[in-house]
Formats: sequence, C-alpha cells, structure tokens
Amino acid sequence: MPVNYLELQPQITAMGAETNLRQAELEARLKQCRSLLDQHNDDLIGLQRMVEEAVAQKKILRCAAPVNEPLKTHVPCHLPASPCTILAADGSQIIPSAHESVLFGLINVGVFRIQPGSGNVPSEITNSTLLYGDDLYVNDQPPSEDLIGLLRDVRERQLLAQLAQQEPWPVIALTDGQLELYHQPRNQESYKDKFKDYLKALDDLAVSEVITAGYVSRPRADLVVNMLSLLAGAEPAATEARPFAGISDITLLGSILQPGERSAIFRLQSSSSAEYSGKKALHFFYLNVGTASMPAYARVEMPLWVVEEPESVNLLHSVLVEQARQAGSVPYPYPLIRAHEIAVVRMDERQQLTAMIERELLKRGVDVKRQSEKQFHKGHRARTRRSR
Amino acid sequence: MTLNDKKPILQADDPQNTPIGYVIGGGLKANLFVRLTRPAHEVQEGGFVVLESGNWQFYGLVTDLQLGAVDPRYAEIQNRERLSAQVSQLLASQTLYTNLEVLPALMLERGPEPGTEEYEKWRAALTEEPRPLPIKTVPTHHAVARLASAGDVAEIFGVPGEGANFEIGRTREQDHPVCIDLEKFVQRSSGIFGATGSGKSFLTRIILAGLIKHNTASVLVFDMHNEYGFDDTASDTGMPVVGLRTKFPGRVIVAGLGRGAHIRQHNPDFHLEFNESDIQPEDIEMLTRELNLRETTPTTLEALVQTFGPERWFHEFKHMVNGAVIENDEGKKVPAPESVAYWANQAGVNPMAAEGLHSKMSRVFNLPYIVEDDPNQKISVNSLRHIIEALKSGKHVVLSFGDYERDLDYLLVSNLLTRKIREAWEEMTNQYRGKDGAEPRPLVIAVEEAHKLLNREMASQTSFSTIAREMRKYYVTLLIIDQRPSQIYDEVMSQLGTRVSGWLGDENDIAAVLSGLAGRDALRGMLARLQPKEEVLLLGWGVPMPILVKSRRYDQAFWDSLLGKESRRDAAQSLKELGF
Amino acid sequence: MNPIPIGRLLRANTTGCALGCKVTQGSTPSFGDMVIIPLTNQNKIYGLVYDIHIDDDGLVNQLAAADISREIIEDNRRNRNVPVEMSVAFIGWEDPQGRVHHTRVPYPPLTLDEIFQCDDEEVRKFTQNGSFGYLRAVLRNPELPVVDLVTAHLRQILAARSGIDAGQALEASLVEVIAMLKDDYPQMMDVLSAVSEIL
Repeated sequence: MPVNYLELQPQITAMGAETNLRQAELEARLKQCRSLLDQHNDDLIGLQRMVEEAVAQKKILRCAAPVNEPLKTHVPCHLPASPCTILAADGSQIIPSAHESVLFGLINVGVFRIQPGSGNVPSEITNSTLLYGDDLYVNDQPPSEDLIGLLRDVRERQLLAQLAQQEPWPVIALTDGQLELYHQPRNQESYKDKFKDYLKALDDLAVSEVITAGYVSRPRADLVVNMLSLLAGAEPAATEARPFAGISDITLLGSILQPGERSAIFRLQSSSSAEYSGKKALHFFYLNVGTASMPAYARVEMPLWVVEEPESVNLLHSVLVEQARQAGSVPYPYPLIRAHEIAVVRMDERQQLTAMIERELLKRGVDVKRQSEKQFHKGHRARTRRSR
Repeated sequence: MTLNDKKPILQADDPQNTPIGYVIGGGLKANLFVRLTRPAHEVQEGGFVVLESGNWQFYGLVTDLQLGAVDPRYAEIQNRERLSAQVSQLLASQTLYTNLEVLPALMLERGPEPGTEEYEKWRAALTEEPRPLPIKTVPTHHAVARLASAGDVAEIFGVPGEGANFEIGRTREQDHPVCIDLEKFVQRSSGIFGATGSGKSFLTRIILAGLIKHNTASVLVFDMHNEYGFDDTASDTGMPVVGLRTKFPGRVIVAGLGRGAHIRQHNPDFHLEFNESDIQPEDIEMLTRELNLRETTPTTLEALVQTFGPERWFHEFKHMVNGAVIENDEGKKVPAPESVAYWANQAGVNPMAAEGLHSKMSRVFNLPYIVEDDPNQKISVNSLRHIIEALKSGKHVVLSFGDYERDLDYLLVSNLLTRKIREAWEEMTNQYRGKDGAEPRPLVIAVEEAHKLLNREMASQTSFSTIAREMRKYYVTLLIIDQRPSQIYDEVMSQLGTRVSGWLGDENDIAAVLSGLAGRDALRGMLARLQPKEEVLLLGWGVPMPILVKSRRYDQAFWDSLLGKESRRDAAQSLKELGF
Repeated sequence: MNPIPIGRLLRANTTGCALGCKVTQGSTPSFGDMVIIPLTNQNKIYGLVYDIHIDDDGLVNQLAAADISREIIEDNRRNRNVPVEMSVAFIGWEDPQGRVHHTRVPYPPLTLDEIFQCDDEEVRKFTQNGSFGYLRAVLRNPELPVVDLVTAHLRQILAARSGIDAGQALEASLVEVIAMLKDDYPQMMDVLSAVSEIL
C-alpha cells in the first residue's frame, strides 16, 4: 500500500529538529568522554579493578576491559603480511516453512581458502546439511530462525576446525560477525546443546592453534565507552541514565586510528563471559582498513589464545588490512566476501532442492502437498519469467 | 546434383512424359498460367502442351512466357558477389521463375487409372467413346503440365494415313506428326497466308498434292505464275521444284491460256480460249478499276445487251469504230453508222460515255484468247467445257496463265471460269437434290493473289465472293493463297474454315488471319514470330485447335512418303504409259 | 555427449531456457552449438546456444579498481565462473523410443541435472531425416540473432557430416531457409551471404 507521505512530512520535520538537539547533546558527551579517555589512558590496573568490582556487584555489564595496552594505543600494520593460510567461512540457511510444499531446512556453509603471496589458486569448499525429521521438531515445534542460525554458526566453526587441521601453521580462521553468539532463547535445551557444540569447535580451533577471529564491519559497539561511563558512576546497563549514550567506540577512538592501524586490545566483558572461559575468553580490537580520506572501521573479536601470541595478533592485523584493501573501494576482507558468495543459496537453487526432495518423496509414494496459497501468491511477484 | 532435381516432385501419369510445370492460375476467358519447372529454353511459344487434371486432360498452346520473381529484388539485384555459386543457384531456383501462358483449346475425358475398379465403372457408364471437346472448364490448381506426346497429337489431330488424315508438319518440340483432315478441309473455304518469301507456294504444293492424292475432291488451280503445273526452280536456292503434273501424270491436266501457249518450255495438255459470247457485262464491270471505267459503264453495257442480246453485244461492240464520222448531206460531220456514237445516239446512251468505254475496252478486245464464236461452236466452248468435264470426272486442272501475267488477265479469266463452274455445279446440285442425279464431286478452287479478286471493292462483283460465301452448299470451296490477307474482304475471311499461316509482319494482316475466331488474340504475337519457311500456324474451324508446326519439306522424302517409292519414275515414262 | 557443468536453471519454457554455467574457457560451448538436455521423463530436448554472456559482477567491478594479488586474480579466473549465462533456443526433442521430433517441446526442463554438448553422432541423428523445418522456429523468432545462429548451426552440420551427405544436408537446409525467408529480402540476403562465407 502506498505510504502516506503527506502525513509523514511534519513528522520528518520534527525528527530533523530533534536530531539537531541530540547532536549538540552528543557533542557535549563526547567531549566529556574524551577527557576521561585522556585522563585514564594509562590507568589500566585501575580500570581493570573497576570492571571486576562491577561484575562482583552482579551489575548487568557489557563493556571493555583493558589488557596491557594504553587506551589510546594505535598500532600500524606491517605489510606485506607474512605467509599464512586464510580460511574464511560464511553460512546461509533455508528456514523450514509450513507454507512450502515440503518441510525441510538447509544449512549451507561455504569456506574460501587462500594463501596470499603463494601463487596458489584459492579454493572453495561447500558443506550442505539438510534438516529433516527430528531436526524439524524441537519441543514439538518447527525450529526458530534463531536456532537455525545457531546451528549455522556451529557448522561454520566446526568446518573451520576440521579444515584447519589439514593446514600447516599459521592458519587464520575468519568468520563474519562476532565470535560471541547472540541468539535467543538461551534457556532452552536445544540451545544449550548447540552452544556446547559451538564451544567445542572453538576448543578444537584452540588446540590446532588456529588464529580464530570474527570480523565485524561498521561496528556500533560502545564497549569502551561503557567502560568509561563506569567511571562516571553510572549503571552501564540503564540506557536512559547512561551518561554517554549515543557515543560509539568508533566515534571516540576512530580519529586515533590511521589507515591500517589497530587500537589497543580489550577484553570483552559480558553476561556470557563465564561461558567463554579460559583460552576462549573473548577479546577485541578496532581496525581502520580504509584510507585517509575514507576511513573504514572494523571490530575484530578473537579468543585469548590468539591474544597471548603477539605474532598471531600482528599477523591477523596485517592480513586483515591487506585483504580488506584488496576489495577495492569498499574495504572488506576479500576472503569473507567470497565465503559469503559460496555459502549463499539462491532462489533457483532452493527451488531445485525442493524439486529434488519432492521427486524423492513422490518416488516413495509420499503425497507432496502443494504450496500454501499465500506462498503461491507471494511467489508470483518474486519470480521472473521469460517473455514468451 | 542439378538444380532441377530439387524441384517439387511432379509426376505425369505416363512416366515417359517429363512434366514441364504445373498450373497456377488463369481461367477460361483469359489464358491459363503454368509455372515452369524446366529450364525456359525447353519450351517455346507455340508449344503444344497437355494439362493433366484428374480424369480430364486439357490441350493448349503456349502463347507467352513471362519471367517472374517472388520479390522483384531477387530478379533485379545480382548477388554473385555476395553469395557462393551454389547458394546463388539454390536461391534462384526458389525465387525466380518462368510462367507460361497457355491458350486452352480442348479437353478430353480419360477416366480414372486404367486397371482400377473406378476405371471399369467409368467405362461401363460411357455411352460413347470420349472425344476431345471444346474447352468448357478449367484444370485444377497444380495440374501437371507436360509437352504433348505422339499419342496426344494423334488423339487430337489424327493418325497420319488413317482416313483423310494428311500430315502437314510436325510439332516443333518433339517432332510428332500433325495432320489435317482433308475431308473437313474441303468442306469449307480455307486459306494459306504468309508474307512474301515465307514459303506459301511450297505449302500450297504440299496441300494440293495431298488433295490430289486423296482424291475425294477435284482441284482447279489458278496458277498465275506458272508454279504448280510443271517443274519449277526455287527462287532462293535455285534447286529444282517438282511439278504436280510430273508426280500425278494422268490425273493432273495443265491448261494453258490462249492458243500456242508454252508453259515453262512445255506444251500444256490443252489450250483455253473463250468465246466472245461468254463475256457478260459483269465480267467487264469487274474490271472497273483495272480499266479505269466510269460510273456510266453499267448503263452503257446494259444498253448494249439490250440492243444486241447477251451473246452478241461483245462482238458487235468490238467491231464498232470509235470516232468514225461521215459527212452527211449538209456536209456536216456526223457519226458513221458503224461508229460507237451512232449506236449510242440510237440507244439513248451518252455518246461520250460509250466512246470512252469502247476505247478503254480495247485491251479486252485485243485479248487473243477471246475468240469469235465459231458457228460450229466447237473449239473454245469445248475447251471451257473440257475443263469442266475434266473436273467433274475426277481430274485436276492447273490453269497456267503462261505469258499472260497481267492483273487484267487474271481477273477476267478466273472470274469467267469460276462463273461457268458455279453455274455447272449449281445445276448438278439441284439435280442431285431433286433425286435426279449423282452427288456432285466436290471442287476446290485454289486462287493465288486472292486479294486482287476478293478485296472489298470487288467483293460484291466477282463470283468468288459468292463462292466463298455460299458455294459450299454446292460443293465448291475456295483455297485462298495470299500475302495480304488484310486486303481481303473480311466477310470472306471470316468464312474461311482452316487457315494455314506462315510468318506475317503486318499488324493488319495478322488481325485479318485471326478474324472471326473468338479469343485468339493470344496468337497475334505468335504469327509475327514464326520462323519463315520453317513454321506455320494452323487454326480455324478445320483444325481441332490452333497449333504451331514445322512445315513439311517439299522434297523427295515427301513424295516418297506420299506416293511410295514408285513415284520416282521418270515423268516422261509415266506419260508414255498413259498414252500421252 | 560432452557434459557441460551447470550451476542453475534460470528460466525455462517450451521454446527455450537460460542457465547459469560454471564453465571455463575450455569447456564452454560455442555460440550456435547444439546441446542436449535430458529430461526426467526420458525425453531429451535439443537446443541451440544463442547467447553466452557474463553477467555484471559487482565484486569484479570493485576489484578492478584495486591493486589485486595474483591469488585473487587466479581466484576470479578459476573459481568465480558462475555468472556465465547461456541462453538456449529449443529446436526439437526425442521421445523415449528414440524418435526425433522437430516440433515444439511438450514441456520445458523443470530441474536441470545435466546439459550436454552434442557430438557429431548426435548432430547427425537430429538432422538425419533430411527435413530442416525446425529452422522455422529459429528464423521466425525476433529475439534470436538469426543470421549468425543459422550460419553457426550449418557450419556444425557440415562438420558433423562428410562428403555427399554433407552436401545434401546443406542443400536441404538451405532450401528450407530460402523457402521461409522468401518474403523478407533483407534478411534472406543477410543469412545467405553469411552462409556463403562458410562454404
């Protein structure tokens, strides 16, 4: 249905006005935040203790904690990066739908393997898992999108662990997005089960000493800001009272990072920290993969076992910058672009898979119901047709 | 692999007859159109074609060939640079074509495939043997067209030698013999036409030979140039040309005009003379143009007859003296009693007119072959009657004019003779009709330079036009031989049954030959394109359908086939045998 | 039959289809090649490739601007070949009894397991009955590059047959083409002059 632009116009005007106000407000906050940053740049011990105390008080906390680098650290990368094997993984899924003719799900994971500087032709690996039968009934219900997403994340890391075992060190295993999974509902058995699998996969990666990292582009996190707001005495979780609400870490730190530079490494403190224990403890740094005129930031998450090896961190840092720049005008690590391409399930592939399943079922005398009417009509608009 | 192997598969019913195309359109009023599937040079204008359509066969004559193209650009634009030779040829075979225009004339019901059940049924249902009929309907689209086979030609024109069939030539494409039915030929007047040098005389000789051989009619030939009787020499090749008398000794009599005539160093069998009493005023009137006579002539002649009677007027008028005067008692010059003027005054006729007539008639008076009546009435009457008796009894006469080659002689003599013949034959016919005598023997009078006798001016005056118009009732027909048919009175032309025409150049002559025949415009162009001395077109009532033939050669082979080998006997020998 | 690896079927109806192929320089069918698509119900569809193109690839556009490594170049050359899109015009089909029909296919491919390049034997089989009426569908389709397609197809036929047989086939096919294009002089001359060049 058409949008009522007339009705919206005054609202847009109001929005503009409000934004101006907010802008001013934000600038003030930023100024304050910056001064705190300067003030406490070297007070690493003090800040660590502050965070621990907050944890002990069982406050709901999601922030950064310094490790051993001053807050305003910025480290240049060393190019060209040293030789290594990059395994980048991405996944896509088909959510089972009651509207389709057959109930099934799919998890499709793609891995792109490249050895920069070696001259070897990069390769592609695909792993496809069909979800059917019991997979489709979790607590007597078809699985949610979240659960399937979790399954996918698990498969990604499992596949990486599997493949990494066959590679000589050093291996960098990359995925898009956080390493810290964020899927609801957490309390269900199915979730807990899968989460365990995930952690196991991480363990496997640790054992193989794989430099594992999650790459978050356009990061909007405010983890360091939240840490600083503790100094201001505020409850970090309460959004209305937060002193530095609206300021992201990049707003704060971005200008410090020159093209190719990384920020200090921080520990990630969150409600799931307990689960990512030991070597798996999650850390991160910020990275500028852009140019002087066009900075492009990313947040790179990695587990403790990587942080403990400065060589690994340097390698990871350099490789990411190098690979991101290969992508041209919109910097993003090339291997992750390709992994995504490999993983993606197109509409016609989905149709083909559906047809294959239908064929198999029909062959066995199973009555395949037709598409639901709603789906049929939705499909009409989506599909393209040849002209005759 | 040739171009033509890829044509649509056409099959004529008789596998020996190659199809040449198929019908694509046309109709009864206009002509039929046939798409040619053979190279164009295989078919020519005048070709005799057969169209096979179901149970019927249609017979027609090719009157035009037209080039066509599916799109004019295929014809206009040469594509040899753009296309390979093979492709170019394939393209041409499918986009360029030739259409024939066919004048349909006859149709014949052949029935279904022989040997099948339908065929038996059809045969059983027939009341009479199917004959070729004048065309009443059209063949279907895509009816197969082929050249006429020997069988087709024989079906339509007859088998040579059978009955009265006389081979007059052969089809041009495939050399099948074409016949005319001589019985039919003599039932109406007919004509042989063609420009000078187109072979008319030879054609005439051939037909005359046929008629003489067939012998159901007698032939009287007015041989103005002494060509037909005795042996001659061809004007162009210088080769000897055999005469009719040589080949038919005893049956052909050559008459010479005037006592002492010599025809080509031969003596004629007898000499023809006329009596003065034979000449009638109409004979003189016919010479109006020749003698430049006035309108007063008929009156004057009438007066002469009144005065002296029909048998004496000529003699008396001849012996009058023009301008004779004597002195009368007063010493004035007055016409002498023997003068023309004297008589004119007596008869109430204008003396000047009479004198004028007399002087103009001097040419006639001086003709040596008009002789005084012998009181015994033996000689000239005999010779005129001699001719008639000969003709009645089945002989053939060639009247050679010898040295008398002027128009005056020709006009006068032929008219005179024909008048007598007409009288004789009318009498015979009336007797026959009154059950008082035998059926008269048909007579054909062959007239050369017919336009001199049968032009519009003369038409009412000569006996010829009467003969042409009426005399078939009386068993006399004409055979006109002429190179200016446009000058012949068109009423006469339209009476002609069979017309045999060689090449004609003049539009009017062509139109004249075709006059009276419906729907023959298509043949106009054909007449102008005939090969002189080689090809003739047969058309008219006497032939089933128009057809173009290669005319027969008048040579030894002709005589051998006509008379058998014994015709080679020496002429003198034959004469001897017959007592001449 | 030479298998062509394919990625996916994009569009299909009874007159043709478009498919995405994962092919390399060596295995790509050429313009005008005859291909066979076996269907699940034992029928086989015969078609002619009339379009091969590479889709616009956003990533490649981006990459082109940057200084890229050898490995990435190789990656693009060897691995990222999916966006070759091939369009096929159907010219006939074969029933389970092995009889070849030169008519519109009764149903389009629904799932595409395989598509094969025809070898000489198959080209002969399809054209053996000497009738080239199937060219009608090609010649009358305004979306096809008729001149080049017919020429390429005829060239393939000539290559698949030898001697007199080839000559006969060529002539029969040209007769058909001429019969169909008679009313269109410009197109006729375009097709024939192109064909003349290969003779």
